[in-house]
Amino acid sequence: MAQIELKDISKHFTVSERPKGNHAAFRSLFHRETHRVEALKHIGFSIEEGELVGYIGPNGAGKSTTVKVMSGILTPEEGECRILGRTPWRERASHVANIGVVFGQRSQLWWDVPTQDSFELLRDIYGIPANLYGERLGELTRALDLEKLLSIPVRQLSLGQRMRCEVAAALLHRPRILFLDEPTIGLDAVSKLSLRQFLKEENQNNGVTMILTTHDMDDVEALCSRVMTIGHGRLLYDGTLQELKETYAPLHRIRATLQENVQLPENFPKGILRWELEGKTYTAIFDSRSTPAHLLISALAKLLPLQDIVVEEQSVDEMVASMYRSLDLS
Amino acid sequence: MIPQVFLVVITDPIGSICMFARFGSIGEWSMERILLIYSMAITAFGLAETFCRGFDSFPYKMVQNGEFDRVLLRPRSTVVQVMGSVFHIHRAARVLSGCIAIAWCLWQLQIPMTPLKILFLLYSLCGGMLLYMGVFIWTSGISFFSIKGLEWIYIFTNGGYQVTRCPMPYMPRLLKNIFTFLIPILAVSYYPASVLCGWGEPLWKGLLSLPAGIGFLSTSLLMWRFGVRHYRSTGS
Repeated sequence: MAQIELKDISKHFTVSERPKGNHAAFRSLFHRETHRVEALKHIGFSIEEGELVGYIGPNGAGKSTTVKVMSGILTPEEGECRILGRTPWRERASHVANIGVVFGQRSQLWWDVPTQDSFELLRDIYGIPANLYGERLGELTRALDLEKLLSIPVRQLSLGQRMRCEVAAALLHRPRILFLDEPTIGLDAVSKLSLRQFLKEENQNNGVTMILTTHDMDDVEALCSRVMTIGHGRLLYDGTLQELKETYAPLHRIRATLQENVQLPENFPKGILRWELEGKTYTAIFDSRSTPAHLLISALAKLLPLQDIVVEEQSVDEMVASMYRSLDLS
Repeated sequence: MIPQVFLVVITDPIGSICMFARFGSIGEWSMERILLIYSMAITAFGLAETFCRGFDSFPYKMVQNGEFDRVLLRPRSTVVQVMGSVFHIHRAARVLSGCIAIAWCLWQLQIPMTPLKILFLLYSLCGGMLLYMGVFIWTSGISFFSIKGLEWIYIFTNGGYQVTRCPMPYMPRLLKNIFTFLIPILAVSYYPASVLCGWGEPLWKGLLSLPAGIGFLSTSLLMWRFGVRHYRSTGS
Protein backbone atom coordinates (compact mmCIF):
# COMPACT_ATOMS: atom_id res chain seq x y z
CA MET A 1 0.00 0.00 0.00
CA ALA A 2 1.15 3.51 -0.74
CA GLN A 3 2.66 5.49 2.09
CA ILE A 4 0.37 8.45 1.59
CA GLU A 5 -3.11 8.00 0.22
CA LEU A 6 -5.79 10.65 -0.17
CA LYS A 7 -9.22 9.86 -1.51
CA ASP A 8 -11.91 12.36 -2.31
CA ILE A 9 -10.79 14.91 0.27
CA SER A 10 -13.01 17.98 0.45
CA LYS A 11 -12.65 20.92 2.76
CA HIS A 12 -14.58 24.15 2.87
CA PHE A 13 -14.33 27.27 4.96
CA THR A 14 -17.04 29.70 5.89
CA VAL A 15 -15.82 33.21 5.27
CA SER A 16 -17.69 36.12 6.74
CA GLU A 17 -17.80 39.30 4.75
CA ARG A 18 -18.95 42.80 5.39
CA PRO A 19 -19.57 45.47 2.77
CA LYS A 20 -17.81 48.74 3.53
CA GLY A 21 -19.47 51.64 5.26
CA ASN A 22 -20.95 52.46 8.64
CA HIS A 23 -24.40 51.25 7.79
CA ALA A 24 -23.10 47.83 6.89
CA ALA A 25 -20.94 47.79 10.01
CA PHE A 26 -24.00 48.42 12.15
CA ARG A 27 -26.02 45.78 10.34
CA SER A 28 -23.26 43.24 10.81
CA LEU A 29 -23.82 43.46 14.55
CA PHE A 30 -27.07 41.58 14.06
CA HIS A 31 -26.61 39.66 10.90
CA ARG A 32 -23.45 38.26 9.49
CA GLU A 33 -23.11 37.68 5.77
CA THR A 34 -21.17 34.53 5.06
CA HIS A 35 -20.23 32.55 2.05
CA ARG A 36 -18.65 29.18 1.55
CA VAL A 37 -15.22 28.80 0.07
CA GLU A 38 -14.44 25.38 -1.30
CA ALA A 39 -10.76 25.04 -0.48
CA LEU A 40 -10.41 21.44 -1.64
CA LYS A 41 -12.74 19.58 -3.99
CA HIS A 42 -12.37 15.82 -4.09
CA ILE A 43 -8.59 15.73 -4.00
CA GLY A 44 -7.08 12.30 -4.35
CA PHE A 45 -3.56 10.97 -4.95
CA SER A 46 -1.16 8.42 -3.59
CA ILE A 47 2.54 8.69 -2.95
CA GLU A 48 5.03 5.88 -2.49
CA GLU A 49 7.86 5.76 0.00
CA GLY A 50 10.91 7.81 -1.00
CA GLU A 51 9.18 9.95 -3.61
CA LEU A 52 9.95 13.63 -3.86
CA VAL A 53 6.83 15.38 -5.08
CA GLY A 54 6.44 19.02 -6.05
CA TYR A 55 3.04 20.47 -5.29
CA ILE A 56 2.40 23.62 -7.25
CA GLY A 57 -0.47 25.96 -7.91
CA PRO A 58 -1.29 29.65 -7.80
CA ASN A 59 -1.89 31.49 -4.53
CA GLY A 60 -5.04 30.38 -2.79
CA ALA A 61 -5.30 27.18 -4.81
CA GLY A 62 -5.36 24.94 -1.75
CA LYS A 63 -1.74 23.86 -1.44
CA SER A 64 -1.35 24.79 2.21
CA THR A 65 -4.77 23.41 3.04
CA THR A 66 -3.77 20.04 1.60
CA VAL A 67 -0.56 20.06 3.62
CA LYS A 68 -2.49 20.98 6.76
CA VAL A 69 -4.96 18.17 6.19
CA MET A 70 -2.12 15.71 5.70
CA SER A 71 -0.35 16.89 8.82
CA GLY A 72 -3.44 16.60 11.00
CA ILE A 73 -4.03 20.31 11.59
CA LEU A 74 -7.28 20.53 9.66
CA THR A 75 -10.10 18.04 9.57
CA PRO A 76 -11.69 17.73 6.13
CA GLU A 77 -15.46 17.44 5.76
CA GLU A 78 -15.29 14.56 3.37
CA GLY A 79 -12.90 11.94 2.18
CA GLU A 80 -10.29 9.57 3.43
CA CYS A 81 -6.65 10.06 4.14
CA ARG A 82 -4.28 7.32 5.21
CA ILE A 83 -0.68 8.18 5.93
CA LEU A 84 1.54 5.34 7.14
CA GLY A 85 -1.73 3.53 7.75
CA ARG A 86 -3.18 6.22 10.00
CA THR A 87 -5.82 8.88 9.58
CA PRO A 88 -4.08 12.14 10.59
CA TRP A 89 -6.95 13.83 12.40
CA ARG A 90 -8.13 10.68 14.21
CA GLU A 91 -4.76 9.46 15.45
CA ARG A 92 -3.06 12.83 15.57
CA ALA A 93 -0.41 12.17 18.21
CA SER A 94 0.92 8.92 16.76
CA HIS A 95 0.67 10.36 13.25
CA VAL A 96 2.70 13.50 13.88
CA ALA A 97 5.40 11.51 15.66
CA ASN A 98 6.27 10.05 12.26
CA ILE A 99 6.19 13.15 10.11
CA GLY A 100 8.09 16.41 9.97
CA VAL A 101 6.62 19.69 8.79
CA VAL A 102 8.36 22.89 7.75
CA PHE A 103 6.34 26.04 7.16
CA GLY A 104 8.33 28.69 5.35
CA GLN A 105 6.10 31.40 6.71
CA ARG A 106 5.77 30.31 10.30
CA SER A 107 8.43 29.31 12.74
CA GLN A 108 8.23 26.03 14.60
CA LEU A 109 11.00 27.05 16.98
CA TRP A 110 10.72 28.88 20.27
CA TRP A 111 11.43 32.50 19.54
CA ASP A 112 13.35 33.59 22.62
CA VAL A 113 15.57 30.65 23.41
CA PRO A 114 18.77 29.51 21.70
CA THR A 115 18.29 27.00 18.91
CA GLN A 116 20.05 24.34 20.95
CA ASP A 117 17.41 24.66 23.69
CA SER A 118 14.61 24.44 21.13
CA PHE A 119 16.17 21.26 19.82
CA GLU A 120 16.44 19.79 23.30
CA LEU A 121 12.83 20.62 24.01
CA LEU A 122 11.90 18.82 20.80
CA ARG A 123 14.04 15.88 21.87
CA ASP A 124 11.94 15.60 25.02
CA ILE A 125 8.63 16.17 23.23
CA TYR A 126 9.36 13.44 20.70
CA GLY A 127 11.03 11.23 23.31
CA ILE A 128 14.22 10.74 21.29
CA PRO A 129 16.77 8.63 23.21
CA ALA A 130 19.86 10.68 24.17
CA ASN A 131 22.40 8.74 22.09
CA LEU A 132 20.26 8.79 18.95
CA TYR A 133 19.62 12.48 19.46
CA GLY A 134 23.35 13.26 19.74
CA GLU A 135 24.11 11.29 16.62
CA ARG A 136 21.31 12.87 14.61
CA LEU A 137 22.10 16.39 15.80
CA GLY A 138 25.74 15.88 14.76
CA GLU A 139 24.63 14.71 11.32
CA LEU A 140 22.29 17.65 10.79
CA THR A 141 24.78 20.15 12.20
CA ARG A 142 27.38 19.04 9.67
CA ALA A 143 25.00 18.85 6.75
CA LEU A 144 23.29 22.18 7.39
CA ASP A 145 26.29 23.96 8.88
CA LEU A 146 24.59 24.82 12.14
CA GLU A 147 27.64 24.83 14.40
CA LYS A 148 27.65 28.58 14.98
CA LEU A 149 23.87 28.99 15.13
CA LEU A 150 23.12 26.63 18.00
CA SER A 151 23.79 29.12 20.76
CA ILE A 152 21.96 32.09 19.20
CA PRO A 153 18.34 32.89 20.12
CA VAL A 154 16.04 32.15 17.21
CA ARG A 155 14.80 35.73 16.91
CA GLN A 156 18.32 36.91 16.10
CA LEU A 157 18.88 34.49 13.24
CA SER A 158 18.63 35.65 9.64
CA LEU A 159 15.90 34.10 7.51
CA GLY A 160 18.31 31.75 5.78
CA GLN A 161 19.87 30.68 9.05
CA ARG A 162 16.48 30.21 10.63
CA MET A 163 15.23 28.10 7.76
CA ARG A 164 18.20 25.76 8.14
CA CYS A 165 17.35 25.42 11.82
CA GLU A 166 13.68 24.83 11.00
CA VAL A 167 14.57 22.02 8.63
CA ALA A 168 16.88 20.47 11.21
CA ALA A 169 14.15 20.75 13.85
CA ALA A 170 11.67 18.98 11.59
CA LEU A 171 14.11 16.12 10.95
CA LEU A 172 15.50 15.54 14.46
CA HIS A 173 13.11 12.70 15.19
CA ARG A 174 13.89 11.00 11.87
CA PRO A 175 10.43 11.28 10.37
CA ARG A 176 9.69 9.07 7.40
CA ILE A 177 7.74 11.82 5.70
CA LEU A 178 8.57 15.51 5.42
CA PHE A 179 6.10 18.19 4.33
CA LEU A 180 7.63 21.45 3.20
CA ASP A 181 5.32 24.41 2.69
CA GLU A 182 7.20 27.04 0.71
CA PRO A 183 10.56 26.35 2.36
CA THR A 184 12.58 28.55 0.02
CA ILE A 185 10.39 31.62 0.18
CA GLY A 186 12.49 34.73 0.69
CA LEU A 187 15.83 32.93 0.68
CA ASP A 188 18.89 34.19 -1.18
CA ALA A 189 20.44 32.17 -3.99
CA VAL A 190 23.14 30.54 -1.87
CA SER A 191 20.74 29.50 0.87
CA LYS A 192 18.30 28.13 -1.69
CA LEU A 193 20.92 26.06 -3.44
CA SER A 194 22.31 24.61 -0.25
CA LEU A 195 18.85 23.84 1.09
CA ARG A 196 17.95 22.03 -2.13
CA GLN A 197 21.19 20.09 -2.01
CA PHE A 198 20.47 19.06 1.56
CA LEU A 199 16.90 17.98 0.82
CA LYS A 200 18.06 15.92 -2.10
CA GLU A 201 20.66 14.14 -0.03
CA GLU A 202 18.25 13.53 2.81
CA ASN A 203 15.81 12.02 0.33
CA GLN A 204 18.43 9.80 -1.27
CA ASN A 205 20.34 8.71 1.82
CA ASN A 206 17.51 8.27 4.28
CA GLY A 207 14.63 7.60 1.92
CA VAL A 208 12.51 10.36 3.43
CA THR A 209 9.37 10.95 1.40
CA MET A 210 8.95 14.64 0.69
CA ILE A 211 6.13 16.82 -0.51
CA LEU A 212 7.17 20.32 -1.35
CA THR A 213 4.87 23.20 -2.11
CA THR A 214 6.53 26.11 -3.80
CA HIS A 215 6.23 28.95 -6.25
CA ASP A 216 9.85 28.68 -7.19
CA MET A 217 9.91 26.42 -10.23
CA ASP A 218 13.65 25.98 -9.89
CA ASP A 219 12.95 24.08 -6.68
CA VAL A 220 10.72 21.72 -8.59
CA GLU A 221 13.14 21.33 -11.44
CA ALA A 222 16.08 20.66 -9.13
CA LEU A 223 14.33 18.26 -6.79
CA CYS A 224 11.09 16.75 -7.94
CA SER A 225 10.60 13.77 -10.18
CA ARG A 226 6.87 14.14 -9.88
CA VAL A 227 4.70 17.22 -10.01
CA MET A 228 1.14 17.76 -8.90
CA THR A 229 -0.74 20.90 -9.83
CA ILE A 230 -3.72 22.15 -7.91
CA GLY A 231 -6.03 24.99 -8.87
CA HIS A 232 -9.36 26.15 -7.44
CA GLY A 233 -9.22 23.21 -5.04
CA ARG A 234 -8.94 20.56 -7.76
CA LEU A 235 -6.03 18.37 -8.68
CA LEU A 236 -5.33 19.27 -12.32
CA TYR A 237 -2.16 17.48 -13.13
CA ASP A 238 -0.23 14.60 -11.65
CA GLY A 239 2.79 13.27 -13.49
CA THR A 240 6.43 13.85 -14.32
CA LEU A 241 7.88 17.27 -14.91
CA GLN A 242 8.97 16.05 -18.37
CA GLU A 243 5.41 15.27 -19.46
CA LEU A 244 4.25 18.55 -18.04
CA LYS A 245 6.80 20.34 -20.14
CA GLU A 246 5.85 18.43 -23.29
CA THR A 247 2.21 19.33 -22.77
CA TYR A 248 2.51 22.93 -21.77
CA ALA A 249 5.90 24.01 -23.06
CA PRO A 250 6.43 22.20 -26.36
CA LEU A 251 8.07 25.17 -28.00
CA HIS A 252 11.85 25.32 -27.85
CA ARG A 253 14.12 28.08 -28.92
CA ILE A 254 17.32 27.93 -30.92
CA ARG A 255 19.68 30.82 -30.42
CA ALA A 256 22.62 31.05 -32.75
CA THR A 257 25.45 33.54 -32.85
CA LEU A 258 26.71 34.13 -36.37
CA GLN A 259 30.30 34.80 -37.42
CA GLU A 260 29.40 37.73 -39.63
CA ASN A 261 26.37 39.72 -40.71
CA VAL A 262 24.58 37.89 -43.48
CA GLN A 263 21.57 38.14 -45.72
CA LEU A 264 19.19 35.40 -44.68
CA PRO A 265 18.09 32.97 -47.36
CA GLU A 266 14.42 32.76 -48.30
CA ASN A 267 13.76 29.12 -47.68
CA PHE A 268 14.42 27.99 -44.13
CA PRO A 269 14.31 24.39 -42.96
CA LYS A 270 10.84 23.07 -42.25
CA GLY A 271 9.66 23.09 -38.68
CA ILE A 272 10.71 26.60 -37.74
CA LEU A 273 7.61 28.44 -36.65
CA ARG A 274 9.05 31.92 -36.47
CA TRP A 275 12.46 33.50 -36.43
CA GLU A 276 14.18 36.80 -36.04
CA LEU A 277 17.62 38.26 -36.55
CA GLU A 278 19.11 40.97 -34.40
CA GLY A 279 22.65 41.88 -35.37
CA LYS A 280 24.55 38.65 -35.23
CA THR A 281 22.03 36.83 -33.06
CA TYR A 282 19.59 34.58 -34.82
CA THR A 283 16.61 33.20 -32.87
CA ALA A 284 14.14 30.57 -34.05
CA ILE A 285 11.18 28.94 -32.33
CA PHE A 286 10.21 25.36 -33.15
CA ASP A 287 7.89 22.68 -31.81
CA SER A 288 9.98 20.00 -30.13
CA ARG A 289 7.24 17.39 -30.54
CA SER A 290 7.32 17.40 -34.34
CA THR A 291 10.84 18.55 -35.12
CA PRO A 292 13.94 16.96 -33.57
CA ALA A 293 16.47 19.63 -32.64
CA HIS A 294 19.48 17.89 -34.19
CA LEU A 295 17.92 17.94 -37.66
CA LEU A 296 17.30 21.64 -37.41
CA ILE A 297 20.81 22.34 -36.21
CA SER A 298 22.45 20.45 -39.02
CA ALA A 299 20.19 22.16 -41.54
CA LEU A 300 20.99 25.57 -40.12
CA ALA A 301 24.71 24.81 -40.09
CA LYS A 302 24.58 24.38 -43.84
CA LEU A 303 22.72 27.65 -44.37
CA LEU A 304 24.41 30.02 -41.95
CA PRO A 305 27.95 30.76 -40.77
CA LEU A 306 27.41 29.56 -37.21
CA GLN A 307 29.77 30.41 -34.41
CA ASP A 308 27.77 29.18 -31.46
CA ILE A 309 24.36 27.54 -31.06
CA VAL A 310 22.16 26.87 -28.01
CA VAL A 311 18.81 25.10 -27.74
CA GLU A 312 16.65 26.37 -24.89
CA GLU A 313 13.46 25.12 -23.34
CA GLN A 314 10.86 27.61 -22.29
CA SER A 315 11.54 28.52 -18.68
CA VAL A 316 9.51 26.55 -16.21
CA ASP A 317 7.95 29.77 -14.96
CA GLU A 318 6.70 30.59 -18.45
CA MET A 319 5.39 27.07 -18.75
CA VAL A 320 3.52 27.23 -15.47
CA ALA A 321 2.09 30.60 -16.39
CA SER A 322 0.82 29.20 -19.68
CA MET A 323 -0.55 26.17 -17.90
CA TYR A 324 -2.40 28.32 -15.34
CA ARG A 325 -3.79 30.36 -18.23
CA SER A 326 -4.92 27.39 -20.25
CA LEU A 327 -6.53 25.83 -17.17
CA ASP A 328 -8.17 29.16 -16.45
CA LEU A 329 -6.50 29.61 -13.08
CA SER A 330 -4.97 33.03 -13.33
CA MET B 1 2.98 40.88 40.80
CA ILE B 2 2.58 38.75 43.89
CA PRO B 3 1.63 41.65 46.23
CA GLN B 4 -0.72 42.91 43.53
CA VAL B 5 -2.63 39.65 43.38
CA PHE B 6 -2.70 39.53 47.17
CA LEU B 7 -4.31 42.95 47.16
CA VAL B 8 -7.00 41.86 44.69
CA VAL B 9 -7.70 38.73 46.68
CA ILE B 10 -8.06 40.69 49.90
CA THR B 11 -10.12 43.54 48.48
CA ASP B 12 -12.38 41.28 46.44
CA PRO B 13 -14.67 40.19 49.30
CA ILE B 14 -14.28 43.46 51.19
CA GLY B 15 -17.77 44.63 50.21
CA SER B 16 -19.35 41.62 51.88
CA ILE B 17 -17.06 41.94 54.87
CA CYS B 18 -17.99 45.59 55.39
CA MET B 19 -21.68 44.83 55.03
CA PHE B 20 -21.52 42.10 57.61
CA ALA B 21 -19.47 44.29 59.93
CA ARG B 22 -22.22 46.94 59.73
CA PHE B 23 -25.32 44.75 59.96
CA GLY B 24 -24.03 41.66 61.74
CA SER B 25 -25.16 38.30 60.44
CA ILE B 26 -28.16 37.39 58.32
CA GLY B 27 -29.91 34.81 60.43
CA GLU B 28 -27.43 32.03 60.99
CA TRP B 29 -25.23 33.34 58.25
CA SER B 30 -22.26 35.00 59.82
CA MET B 31 -19.44 36.61 57.91
CA GLU B 32 -17.12 33.69 58.73
CA ARG B 33 -19.48 31.21 57.09
CA ILE B 34 -19.74 33.19 53.89
CA LEU B 35 -16.03 33.77 53.83
CA LEU B 36 -15.31 30.06 54.34
CA ILE B 37 -17.42 29.07 51.34
CA TYR B 38 -15.94 31.87 49.29
CA SER B 39 -12.37 31.05 50.18
CA MET B 40 -12.88 27.38 49.35
CA ALA B 41 -14.09 28.37 45.92
CA ILE B 42 -11.28 30.84 45.45
CA THR B 43 -8.58 28.38 46.52
CA ALA B 44 -9.88 25.81 44.05
CA PHE B 45 -10.01 28.52 41.39
CA GLY B 46 -6.47 29.60 42.22
CA LEU B 47 -5.16 26.05 41.96
CA ALA B 48 -6.79 25.57 38.58
CA GLU B 49 -5.55 28.96 37.43
CA THR B 50 -1.97 28.17 38.39
CA PHE B 51 -2.02 25.29 35.93
CA CYS B 52 -4.47 26.52 33.33
CA ARG B 53 -3.68 30.18 32.67
CA GLY B 54 -2.51 29.15 29.22
CA PHE B 55 -6.17 28.71 28.35
CA ASP B 56 -6.90 32.28 29.29
CA SER B 57 -4.82 33.82 26.53
CA PHE B 58 -5.38 30.86 24.23
CA PRO B 59 -8.05 32.43 21.97
CA TYR B 60 -5.91 35.48 21.26
CA LYS B 61 -2.45 33.99 21.36
CA MET B 62 -3.02 30.73 19.57
CA VAL B 63 -6.27 30.52 17.63
CA GLN B 64 -6.39 33.99 16.16
CA ASN B 65 -2.90 33.87 14.67
CA GLY B 66 -2.76 30.20 13.87
CA GLU B 67 -0.11 29.30 16.42
CA PHE B 68 -2.20 26.33 17.43
CA ASP B 69 -0.84 24.66 14.28
CA ARG B 70 2.39 24.14 16.11
CA VAL B 71 0.65 22.54 19.06
CA LEU B 72 -1.17 20.15 16.74
CA LEU B 73 2.09 19.13 15.09
CA ARG B 74 3.58 17.82 18.33
CA PRO B 75 2.90 14.26 19.41
CA ARG B 76 1.57 15.32 22.80
CA SER B 77 -1.84 16.11 24.23
CA THR B 78 -3.05 19.52 23.07
CA VAL B 79 -4.56 20.28 26.48
CA VAL B 80 -1.26 19.66 28.27
CA GLN B 81 0.63 21.77 25.74
CA VAL B 82 -1.73 24.71 26.10
CA MET B 83 -1.60 24.34 29.89
CA GLY B 84 2.16 24.56 29.77
CA SER B 85 2.26 27.49 27.36
CA VAL B 86 1.90 30.06 30.16
CA PHE B 87 2.96 29.64 33.75
CA HIS B 88 2.59 32.41 36.30
CA ILE B 89 4.07 31.79 39.69
CA HIS B 90 2.22 34.80 41.12
CA ARG B 91 -1.04 32.94 40.58
CA ALA B 92 -0.08 30.91 43.63
CA ALA B 93 -0.85 34.03 45.70
CA ARG B 94 -4.55 33.34 45.34
CA VAL B 95 -4.08 29.81 46.59
CA LEU B 96 -2.00 30.95 49.52
CA SER B 97 -4.38 33.67 50.64
CA GLY B 98 -7.33 31.32 50.12
CA CYS B 99 -5.76 28.72 52.37
CA ILE B 100 -5.06 31.32 55.04
CA ALA B 101 -8.68 32.50 54.85
CA ILE B 102 -10.00 28.95 55.15
CA ALA B 103 -7.85 28.33 58.21
CA TRP B 104 -8.94 31.60 59.81
CA CYS B 105 -12.65 30.95 59.21
CA LEU B 106 -12.46 27.42 60.60
CA TRP B 107 -10.68 28.78 63.65
CA GLN B 108 -13.29 31.53 64.14
CA LEU B 109 -16.14 29.07 63.71
CA GLN B 110 -14.44 26.84 66.30
CA ILE B 111 -14.52 23.74 64.13
CA PRO B 112 -12.13 21.17 65.60
CA MET B 113 -9.90 19.89 62.78
CA THR B 114 -9.29 16.17 62.82
CA PRO B 115 -6.99 14.50 60.25
CA LEU B 116 -10.11 13.09 58.61
CA LYS B 117 -11.56 16.58 58.19
CA ILE B 118 -8.34 17.92 56.71
CA LEU B 119 -8.41 15.03 54.26
CA PHE B 120 -12.02 15.88 53.42
CA LEU B 121 -11.06 19.52 52.87
CA LEU B 122 -8.24 18.55 50.49
CA TYR B 123 -10.61 16.16 48.74
CA SER B 124 -13.12 18.90 48.01
CA LEU B 125 -10.42 21.40 46.99
CA CYS B 126 -9.17 18.81 44.54
CA GLY B 127 -12.66 18.43 43.11
CA GLY B 128 -12.95 22.21 42.90
CA MET B 129 -9.64 22.49 41.07
CA LEU B 130 -10.73 19.95 38.46
CA LEU B 131 -14.04 21.74 38.07
CA TYR B 132 -12.38 25.10 37.42
CA MET B 133 -9.89 23.51 35.05
CA GLY B 134 -12.92 22.29 33.15
CA VAL B 135 -14.36 25.82 33.14
CA PHE B 136 -11.12 27.22 31.74
CA ILE B 137 -10.91 24.54 29.05
CA TRP B 138 -14.42 24.82 27.66
CA THR B 139 -14.57 28.59 27.79
CA SER B 140 -11.40 28.93 25.75
CA GLY B 141 -12.54 26.10 23.50
CA ILE B 142 -15.36 28.37 22.33
CA SER B 143 -12.72 30.29 20.42
CA PHE B 144 -12.52 27.45 17.88
CA PHE B 145 -15.90 28.65 16.66
CA SER B 146 -15.76 32.38 17.24
CA ILE B 147 -13.06 34.65 18.51
CA LYS B 148 -15.00 37.87 18.72
CA GLY B 149 -16.47 39.26 21.91
CA LEU B 150 -15.43 36.50 24.22
CA GLU B 151 -15.51 38.71 27.32
CA TRP B 152 -18.79 37.20 28.49
CA ILE B 153 -17.00 33.97 29.34
CA TYR B 154 -15.49 35.74 32.36
CA ILE B 155 -18.90 35.29 33.95
CA PHE B 156 -17.96 31.67 34.30
CA THR B 157 -14.23 31.95 34.95
CA ASN B 158 -13.46 34.87 37.22
CA GLY B 159 -17.12 35.45 38.02
CA GLY B 160 -17.66 31.82 38.86
CA TYR B 161 -16.53 32.07 42.43
CA GLN B 162 -18.21 35.41 43.17
CA VAL B 163 -21.58 33.71 43.35
CA THR B 164 -20.49 31.82 46.44
CA ARG B 165 -20.61 35.08 48.41
CA CYS B 166 -24.37 34.89 48.42
CA PRO B 167 -25.76 32.82 51.34
CA MET B 168 -27.36 29.67 49.99
CA PRO B 169 -30.86 30.07 51.47
CA TYR B 170 -31.14 33.53 49.89
CA MET B 171 -29.87 32.57 46.49
CA PRO B 172 -32.49 32.71 43.70
CA ARG B 173 -33.59 29.24 42.64
CA LEU B 174 -32.40 29.77 39.07
CA LEU B 175 -28.86 30.63 40.15
CA LYS B 176 -28.86 27.78 42.63
CA ASN B 177 -29.81 25.31 39.92
CA ILE B 178 -27.30 26.68 37.43
CA PHE B 179 -24.45 26.48 39.90
CA THR B 180 -25.44 23.08 41.22
CA PHE B 181 -26.32 21.17 38.10
CA LEU B 182 -24.87 23.04 35.13
CA ILE B 183 -21.61 24.27 36.59
CA PRO B 184 -21.46 22.57 39.98
CA ILE B 185 -19.60 25.33 41.83
CA LEU B 186 -21.78 24.90 44.92
CA ALA B 187 -20.87 21.22 45.00
CA VAL B 188 -17.25 22.14 45.59
CA SER B 189 -17.85 25.03 48.00
CA TYR B 190 -21.13 25.20 49.91
CA TYR B 191 -21.86 21.50 50.37
CA PRO B 192 -18.38 20.47 51.53
CA ALA B 193 -18.24 23.51 53.84
CA SER B 194 -21.61 22.56 55.27
CA VAL B 195 -20.51 18.98 55.93
CA LEU B 196 -17.24 20.20 57.40
CA CYS B 197 -18.96 22.52 59.88
CA GLY B 198 -22.12 20.52 60.46
CA TRP B 199 -24.67 22.97 59.02
CA GLY B 200 -27.09 20.23 58.21
CA GLU B 201 -26.25 19.02 54.68
CA PRO B 202 -25.80 15.23 54.46
CA LEU B 203 -22.32 13.76 53.98
CA TRP B 204 -23.00 12.37 50.51
CA LYS B 205 -23.66 15.81 49.12
CA GLY B 206 -20.30 16.96 50.44
CA LEU B 207 -18.61 13.96 48.88
CA LEU B 208 -20.02 14.92 45.48
CA SER B 209 -17.26 17.51 45.00
CA LEU B 210 -14.69 15.19 43.40
CA PRO B 211 -17.12 13.33 41.11
CA ALA B 212 -18.62 16.67 40.11
CA GLY B 213 -15.17 18.04 39.29
CA ILE B 214 -14.15 14.96 37.32
CA GLY B 215 -17.47 14.88 35.48
CA PHE B 216 -17.29 18.52 34.53
CA LEU B 217 -13.67 18.29 33.42
CA SER B 218 -14.41 15.22 31.28
CA THR B 219 -17.32 16.96 29.60
CA SER B 220 -15.10 19.97 28.94
CA LEU B 221 -12.41 17.76 27.42
CA LEU B 222 -14.97 16.23 25.09
CA MET B 223 -16.07 19.71 24.04
CA TRP B 224 -12.43 20.64 23.54
CA ARG B 225 -11.89 17.68 21.23
CA PHE B 226 -14.96 18.64 19.29
CA GLY B 227 -13.59 22.16 19.00
CA VAL B 228 -10.19 21.03 17.75
CA ARG B 229 -11.96 19.36 14.82
CA HIS B 230 -13.27 22.78 13.88
CA TYR B 231 -9.98 24.57 14.15
CA ARG B 232 -9.47 26.52 10.93
CA SER B 233 -5.87 27.62 11.11
CA THR B 234 -4.94 30.79 9.22
CA GLY B 235 -3.89 31.34 5.65
CA SER B 236 -0.25 31.46 4.72
